[in-house]
Amino acid sequence: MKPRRAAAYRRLLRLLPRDFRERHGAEMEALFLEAIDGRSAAGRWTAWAAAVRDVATIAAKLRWATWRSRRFRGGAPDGARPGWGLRGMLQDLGFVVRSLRRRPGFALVAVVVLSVGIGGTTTVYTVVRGVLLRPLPYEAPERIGILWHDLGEGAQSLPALNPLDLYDYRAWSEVFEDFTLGVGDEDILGGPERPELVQVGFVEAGFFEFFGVEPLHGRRLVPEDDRPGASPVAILSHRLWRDRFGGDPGVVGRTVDLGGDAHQVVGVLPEGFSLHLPSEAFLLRDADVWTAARVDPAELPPRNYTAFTAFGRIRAGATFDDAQRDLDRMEARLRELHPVHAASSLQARVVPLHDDVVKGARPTLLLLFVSVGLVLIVSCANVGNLLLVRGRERESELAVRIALGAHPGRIIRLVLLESAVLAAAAAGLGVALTEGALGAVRVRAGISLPRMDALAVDWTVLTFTAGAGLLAALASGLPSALRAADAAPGAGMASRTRSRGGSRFRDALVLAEVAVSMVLLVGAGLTMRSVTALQGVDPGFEADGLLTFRVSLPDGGFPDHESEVLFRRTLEERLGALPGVEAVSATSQLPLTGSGPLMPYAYDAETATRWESVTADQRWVTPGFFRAVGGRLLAGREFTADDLRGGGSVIIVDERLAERAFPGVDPVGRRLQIRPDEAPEADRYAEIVGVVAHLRLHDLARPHLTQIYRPMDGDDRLSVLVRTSGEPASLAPSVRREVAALGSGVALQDVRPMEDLVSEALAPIRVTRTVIGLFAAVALAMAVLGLYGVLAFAVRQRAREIGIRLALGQRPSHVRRMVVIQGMRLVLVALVLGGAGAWALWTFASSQLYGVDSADPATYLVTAGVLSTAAMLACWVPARRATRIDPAETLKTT
Amino acid sequence: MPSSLKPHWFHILAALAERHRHGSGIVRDVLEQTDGEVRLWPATLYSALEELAGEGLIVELTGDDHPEGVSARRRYYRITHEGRGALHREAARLASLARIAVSRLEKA
Repeated sequence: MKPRRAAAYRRLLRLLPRDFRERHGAEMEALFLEAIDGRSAAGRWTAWAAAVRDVATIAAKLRWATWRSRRFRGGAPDGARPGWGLRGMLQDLGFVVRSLRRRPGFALVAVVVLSVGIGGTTTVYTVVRGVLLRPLPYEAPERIGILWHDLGEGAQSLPALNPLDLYDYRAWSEVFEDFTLGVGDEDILGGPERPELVQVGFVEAGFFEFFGVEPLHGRRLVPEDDRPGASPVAILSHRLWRDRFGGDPGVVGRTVDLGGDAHQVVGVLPEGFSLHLPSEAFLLRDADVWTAARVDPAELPPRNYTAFTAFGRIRAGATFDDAQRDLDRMEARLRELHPVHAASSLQARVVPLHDDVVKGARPTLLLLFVSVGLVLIVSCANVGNLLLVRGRERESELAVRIALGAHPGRIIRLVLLESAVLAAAAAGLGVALTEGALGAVRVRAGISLPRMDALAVDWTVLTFTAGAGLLAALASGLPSALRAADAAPGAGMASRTRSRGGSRFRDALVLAEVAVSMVLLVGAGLTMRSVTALQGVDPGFEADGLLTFRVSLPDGGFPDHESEVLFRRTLEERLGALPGVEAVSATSQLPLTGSGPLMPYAYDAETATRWESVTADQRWVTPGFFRAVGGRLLAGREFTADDLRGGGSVIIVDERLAERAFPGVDPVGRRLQIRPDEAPEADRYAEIVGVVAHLRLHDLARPHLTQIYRPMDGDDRLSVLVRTSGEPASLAPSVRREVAALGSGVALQDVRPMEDLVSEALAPIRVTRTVIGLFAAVALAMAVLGLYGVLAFAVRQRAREIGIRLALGQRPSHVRRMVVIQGMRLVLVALVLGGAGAWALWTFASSQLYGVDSADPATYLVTAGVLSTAAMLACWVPARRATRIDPAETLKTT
Repeated sequence: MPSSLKPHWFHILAALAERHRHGSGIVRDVLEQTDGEVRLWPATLYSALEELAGEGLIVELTGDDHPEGVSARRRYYRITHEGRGALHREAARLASLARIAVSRLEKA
């Protein structure tokens, strides 16, 4: 045992500076053995722990002291040392630039490799900052919250409430200083001559004041505009004003036709204003035309009918926790006062608006940020390696400088200065890359992030780039600097040329590169599999062969329901007669276009008393809808023309509702309660005539709420589906023609194949896959190059040894194997480390995956295979070169 | 009040105040005097010895000064006049501190 202990302790002593070790090592060893002797096993462990702490502490202290004394030793008597001032710095800079210019190839490669890392990081940072970090463009945005009302577990949870509740909050609140609310709808602007379906926002008079928006022209809404029965006024969005009114300030004061009513234009909003909302926002949207809501409290529906989006501004100095407590108190009072709230166990929440707006984008962006950070690490490692190899070549030059009296510190500074110059050039190139990438991001359709339009490289981004550049300079230069520091103080030339230090650094860098590539490649693989899985999902409908569009009928041309029904029937008939068209149907809302209205229902006494606690997604459809959309009827029948005449008390439900309400029994023919107990008996129930497979109307990745389909014969807004045997897009001109022929003033919108909607829904994961795939490819290329570089260098270093081996008759295949094994050993370790890293990262980010586990063995195996193959190639070239070494040549020259 | 000595400096000086000792001797003496409470680990000991020598509080004995019959391979250390002075000042400082504490405790 003793010799092993002594050897272990001697290894520990290597932490100490050599001179100290030489003076005291033997005695220390004897002392330690004396201290540990005769102890129990547990005692030995304690002793070892104490000894390690002892040696490590003292080693740190001594080395720090040596470093300081070396820094302050010698030089001119007044303490100023030659070459350390600004003048010396400039001299060194000039030297670095000159020496880089002598090796333009090296400089170019290093700059390009670093710029990929810096540019990528800067690009993602610009997006992260623009979307996640920059405050919303409102007054004191950090104090604006959005109010959510949750009605029972697993039921409606929406940022929506009834104004009556908000009026109470306004009266009771102790933490909020202001509230505002609004609701939205689409309407036709412009009457028969130039009908355009626009988004309209109906808001309280104080809405724009709440957000701190000053109109560009005209005025804000005033309380007089907001009185019930006041004459309607309109405020135009900047976009609409520019596109439709040619940016004419004279439009203020004119009247426009909105939904058949004359509205006086009183203001135009500034360009910078847009209303940012969470994706769940119910009816309110960023609107083209804003008008006063003119809410009449006497006309409002019961409190459990929620359609308005409400915002609250908390007092300066208050927190959102305070606000939530305030809201808890008020919501408890609402439950006491109003049985509907008690029944649905109303829960009110306030969420900081900014958090709510970006919550969907946050995980993706953070994931991309981590990934691009890994790319930066790889590029730094790569350049670090290049610099090490170069430093190796320059070792004699540096040794001469030291011999001539150059201070070791100055040599280190020179090395770091070189990497700083490279990083600075790379940062410049990186910013250019960022500009290019942002341009591409802006024009690419399908990437929809909140506030994507306002992304820009500004001073904050440039500061970030400078930081990334500095980091890159340090990270890539440090290995060489440490080498220089190691080699500098007095060590002889002989010991330096034989030192293993440099190659160990290089090995570590390559190891890091391969490991990071593994992390990114696994990410690329997992996201790729997610995309494939999502594309393979059965959404319950068939997107291909489907053309969709929306029509809106002006009140003028279609005054009553009969005229709307006639329009719908004629449209379906005429479209159905077009060549290739197999089915035509209309619905209230197309799949994958956001939330629809929700419908409470009950299937037994218990759910009836908790009215509103169970809700379904409600869609209105014309007969033949499920055939047109490609849905699957599981039981019963589709709607027929007879259902429309019968008063609409029949419904079709999805399989999930059927399972929940009628487990184990055939739901067809049963009644579902669709109105609360207070409603007249005759209106309270609807008969289930059919059961369909769940349609993924919201999210392709997962089923959403249960669904209730109700029959519709016509409406002033229709979403139409046309199934064709041909190419859906080619049907668009005929659709436009037919709609135009059916009446003037009919607004036609969003004519596009259903496939477009599906691919839009897949866009986020596709973008993640593409970007991570790109990062992975870059990392892989760099890692392979790095590995190649290290092995090629090692072969050159060992040329003499290899020459001797060959001269002594060792077979070339043996030498090749030796080189390949040297490389692949590194790769193997890196694969294990990288695999563990990938597993950690992707388990953390598993919300970004679909249908594949973060530990999916196939992905890891394939990735490891790809990497090993690439690495094998990188090893093979230097290995082959090794066996071409002419023994006679190498022995002569070295 | 004079500034305090580092505790392990104090122990080492106290051990050397009795007689010249080598490293292992110092460790053993400190262990004994503190009833096993204080063990000086090797790196701490030897870096402290270098520092004490640097301050002129102890000196390393040259080959001739070794006690009779002792191998010259172990290095012995001797406390200097300055070292005694420093030890004395520290002892007085500690004693006065102890006196204060004791008197307060008795009053209470």
